[in-house]
Amino acid sequence: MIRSSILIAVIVLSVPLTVGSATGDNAIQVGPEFRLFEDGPGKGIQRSPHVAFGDGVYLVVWQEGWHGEDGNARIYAARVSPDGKVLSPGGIQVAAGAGVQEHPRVAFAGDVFLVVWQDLSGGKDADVLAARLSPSGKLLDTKPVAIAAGPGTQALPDVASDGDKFLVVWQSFDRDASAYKGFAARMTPTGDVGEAMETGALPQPRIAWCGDAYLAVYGDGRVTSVKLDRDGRPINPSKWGHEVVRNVRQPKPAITGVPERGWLVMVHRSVPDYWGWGGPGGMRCYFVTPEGELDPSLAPHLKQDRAGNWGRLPHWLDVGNRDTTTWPWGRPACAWDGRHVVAVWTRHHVEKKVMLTNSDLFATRVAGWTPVDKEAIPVAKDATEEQNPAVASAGNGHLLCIYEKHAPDGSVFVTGRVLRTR
Amino acid sequence: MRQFVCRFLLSSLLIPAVVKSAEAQEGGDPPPEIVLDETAPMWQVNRFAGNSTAGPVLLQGPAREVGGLTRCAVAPASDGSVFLGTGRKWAHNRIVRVTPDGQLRLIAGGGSSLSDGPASRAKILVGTRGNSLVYSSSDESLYYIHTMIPAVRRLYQREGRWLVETIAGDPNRTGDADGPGDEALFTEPMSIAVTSTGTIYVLDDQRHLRKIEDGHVTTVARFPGGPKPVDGPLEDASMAITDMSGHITLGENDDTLYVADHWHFAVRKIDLKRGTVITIAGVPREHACFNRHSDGSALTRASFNSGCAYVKWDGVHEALWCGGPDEHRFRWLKDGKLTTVIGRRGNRKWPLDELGVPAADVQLVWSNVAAVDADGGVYLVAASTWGVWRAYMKKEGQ
Repeated sequence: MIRSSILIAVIVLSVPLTVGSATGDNAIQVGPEFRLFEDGPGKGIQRSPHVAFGDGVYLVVWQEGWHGEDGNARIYAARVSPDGKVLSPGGIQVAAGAGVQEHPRVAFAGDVFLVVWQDLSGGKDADVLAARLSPSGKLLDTKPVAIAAGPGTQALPDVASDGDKFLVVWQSFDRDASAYKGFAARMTPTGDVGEAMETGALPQPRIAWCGDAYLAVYGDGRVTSVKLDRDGRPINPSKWGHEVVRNVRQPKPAITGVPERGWLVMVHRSVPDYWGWGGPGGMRCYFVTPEGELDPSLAPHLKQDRAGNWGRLPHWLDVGNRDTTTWPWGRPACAWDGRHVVAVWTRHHVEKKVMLTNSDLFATRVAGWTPVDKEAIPVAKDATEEQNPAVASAGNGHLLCIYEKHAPDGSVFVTGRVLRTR
Repeated sequence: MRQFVCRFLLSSLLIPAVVKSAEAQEGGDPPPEIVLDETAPMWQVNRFAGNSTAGPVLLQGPAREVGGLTRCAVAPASDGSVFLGTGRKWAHNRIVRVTPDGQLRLIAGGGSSLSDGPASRAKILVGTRGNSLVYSSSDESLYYIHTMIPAVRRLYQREGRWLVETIAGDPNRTGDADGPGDEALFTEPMSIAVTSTGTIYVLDDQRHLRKIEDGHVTTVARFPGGPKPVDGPLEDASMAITDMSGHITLGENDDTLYVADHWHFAVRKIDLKRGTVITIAGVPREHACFNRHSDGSALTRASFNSGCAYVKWDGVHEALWCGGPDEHRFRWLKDGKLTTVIGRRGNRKWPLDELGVPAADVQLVWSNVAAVDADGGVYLVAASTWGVWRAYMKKEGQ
């Protein structure tokens, strides 16, 4: 009797798990590809896309135009409906002026979107600027708000929200010390900027909110983290940061919050080397608990992770292989869809053992720190290069993935696809 | 399996070589000798571009505040600008320019096109081991190569826009064919040198010396390999260049070419006018294995650690910078003698982002002299620490 009860209980409990971890062709449905802005002033160069969701609409931001010495890159935005219809086909120029604007990021809080970027318009050093847009696409700050505009370079901002207010992080060069420092500042939906707090998070911090705190991940040579409160003040400061991943060449991590449970951090593994000494390429994920510590259940795999293991470990989403000429590498993207994290990454092809060529995008759902889908699901896969993805979630199983699509003539267009997980 | 093979190679080749070196030292051979150049105390080093705390994303702005620079190829221009080729072989490279006022701006790269056209759309690959980036004042162009792109390409400015043009070879097709530039084929361009009149010399595939003159490609020499360096006429001279080296540099005039003959542990000098090759530095390999990188008389005492990996002519000081890949210091060949000018061995940290650092404090590993500018500034790069440093003699100013 007891055995029968246990068996019934196991069956009953396992039903929703089975549904939630369904694998198959429809695990992630990928919609048709669309461009954000066909004939922009950037003359066929659109880069560094990012996307956020709020008030029933996605806002996509990107760099429109060449950002080199002879260029004039501007930050543009476009609204996209949840079913993938571009609602502002002519684009929205976020900031006027000449010069170079790069690395836009966007988040939603209250009832506005906040776009942040680094701006070299002064021609001497970059500043971090911001502008708010309404969900209807109205530019609320016709003159950008200076988040960090002091002497020296202030660059590579990121922004996230706790639902009510924004937190902007960036790196700022201290000329007296000849070194960068990491900072954060709170900003309200009404445009008030709080005091800049030194966070210790650099270089190139990425942040996400998770119920009661932000987590900033950053690093060069490894990935480390620090928890920040709503004002950007470090909660668990550590001189060397809290290590998430050791020994990562040119890390470009992505992070998303999993409400009340923690944060998922994604980062690539090695780059190809001629002798294969560095092991295979890989796309990996790690889970950080609400306390800001690496999930202890990952511990058994970390040693192998560092040892140049050539097989796929449980927390790896993808693994490279020079014989099959594939190599996952580059900045990934992830977002919480309400049940799982949806992770998107770039899988390159390898020529002549070390040269990364035609890249495609793949996705999987992640539960905890393991992939749910047995096989990675192609998001964008054709003869052209697709890379640098960003993804945002409406929270109900609808997501928007945007990315750069490189044509053989060298033009680059920001392109999108709707993803559906249920 | 691959790891096993690598470990086997390490244990069978490298370790015995190190042991042999140690035994040789204990067995009576004189220890490596460092002879400081008389100018060494006068040299200082500035961080020129990059910052160790900036991170892996390429930034623009004040050169000493940018991140994202890897080991760089360096090409000073006649107007005081300095071009840098940055990036690694596995991803898209970029060419940036540091203007005389210290601003670093992106010039080319990040695209996917190997066709001629705007630099903003170009796929750029620039080698960082050989002399792969050279500025030619004769046509105000920047020439660049990479072993994986079998062509010689140039970057030039027209009406304010930067453009890319292939001047010889086909970026999508390898081969070995002379002829007009658009019909010629290259295999693996490793190093490039441009004369004052615009003639281009290319070291192709470790063994072929090619020349591009008036748009026409010819093969100047096909060097046979061999265990020992053979001097003499170009057609008989042997070279042992590896994929870790491949440096050529023009010397005191347009008819003199120096070669880092890596696995012969030697510096070779080619007289292009007479068509001859002579060895000018490096004791024979059997006396110059690992950890033997002595200064001293060029042909009887001087040696290179792990072979001679680079050469760079310094027209201001009339000296040839040369060295092995991992010597931790920078040496020049002058008046028949190899002496140490910059750097030292050891594990001490040095202020690598600072200005005015005494040259003796510099510790760059897997390093080389990448370029010398018209003011005698010497550009240093390393695989271990990314970015660019500029060394200069105090009396010559910053």
